[in-house]
Amino acid sequence: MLEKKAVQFRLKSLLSMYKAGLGNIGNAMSDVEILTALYYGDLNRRPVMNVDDYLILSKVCAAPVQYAVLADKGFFDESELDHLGQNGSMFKEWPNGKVPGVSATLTSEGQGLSVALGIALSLKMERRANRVFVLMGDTELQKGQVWEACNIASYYNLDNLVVFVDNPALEIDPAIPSNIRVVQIQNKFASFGWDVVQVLDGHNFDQLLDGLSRAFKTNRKPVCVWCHTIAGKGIEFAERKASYLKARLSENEVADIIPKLQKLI
Amino acid sequence: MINIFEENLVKLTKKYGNMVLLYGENTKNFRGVLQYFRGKSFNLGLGEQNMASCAVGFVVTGKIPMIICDSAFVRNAFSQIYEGICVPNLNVKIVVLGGGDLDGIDLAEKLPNMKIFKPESEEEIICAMEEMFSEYGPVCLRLKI
Repeated sequence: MLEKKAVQFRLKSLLSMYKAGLGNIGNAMSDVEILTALYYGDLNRRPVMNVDDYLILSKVCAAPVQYAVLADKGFFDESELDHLGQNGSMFKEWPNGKVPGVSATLTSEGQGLSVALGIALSLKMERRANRVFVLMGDTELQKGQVWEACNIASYYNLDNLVVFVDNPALEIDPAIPSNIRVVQIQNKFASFGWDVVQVLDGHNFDQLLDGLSRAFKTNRKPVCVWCHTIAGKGIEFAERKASYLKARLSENEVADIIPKLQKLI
Repeated sequence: MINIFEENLVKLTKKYGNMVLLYGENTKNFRGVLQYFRGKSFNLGLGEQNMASCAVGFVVTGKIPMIICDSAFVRNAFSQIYEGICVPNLNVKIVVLGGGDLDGIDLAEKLPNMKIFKPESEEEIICAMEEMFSEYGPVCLRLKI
């Protein structure tokens, strides 16, 4: 059920990105399953995300995927996705706060965790039990602002903050040895006073939901759910390739991949 | 001048109950106010970029965040204020303590949607603070210490 949903979202967002002429195929496709698990998954017959929970998309290039999910949720009509990236449209290539269902406007990476920190502090202040979810890429962890927010989140014991780090372990610039960096950064989250939950396959719904149930059990600590993913997942020729991270698919490539995805639905 | 600011702020908290105070390393200048903001004031340390983006989060949940900062704040967190607060026109109030003209308050004039107050006398401070909260949108208030 969830797997079919994920393929639908992959297809819809791919088509809308192709029509808009947007790149970021490899970056966006790796977190389709995480967003599907958040919006449609359930733990013990309770939905993972309640109606008044917040989701901040710090990984801004995954915005077309979130739009596809929100259209399926009924926030707006699916035909609106055709206007993605057009002049005067509210559907930008980054999450726009004017779109129904999107919490905040974010135009560059690295600021999402700070925005979520503000929401989480505000919810604690009002003693509301809602959660704030953040989806981050691994590359933006190199920004300093993320660690400023990390420090404050553990200082205020924000256990309503759940951060997903989507880690395809691929860099556009191969000069940075990413596999070495990842282990160190997980330790950094722990040393800032966070709980770290590992999800070894970020495309497997059983593992994702199991990771979420472990993340919800932590007490008085913010949680980082570290998901190992594959860049460009679902598009055979683009998987694990740095050249497709920010690439725009050609006409032949789209004609090749769409029938394959449609078979899976 | 800071005394007038403090007195007026305490009056305004009764009118605007959803006001939230964010501050960093400069508590010595307004320690008297903090007792009126129990549970509604947050010390976010020296992370200025984090503080600017954090204010966006408070606006999302319907609060009026007020950032009290040094003059270097606008300069250090310029990108966060520009992209996160000013372009979407969010209701964030920034109070710059002791800014000279070249020290960041001039940079704030370049920001879209930003209104800037530079009060010189005590009466002007009272007027500026009432004006600050009457309209929705980002405001920068320069206070001489």
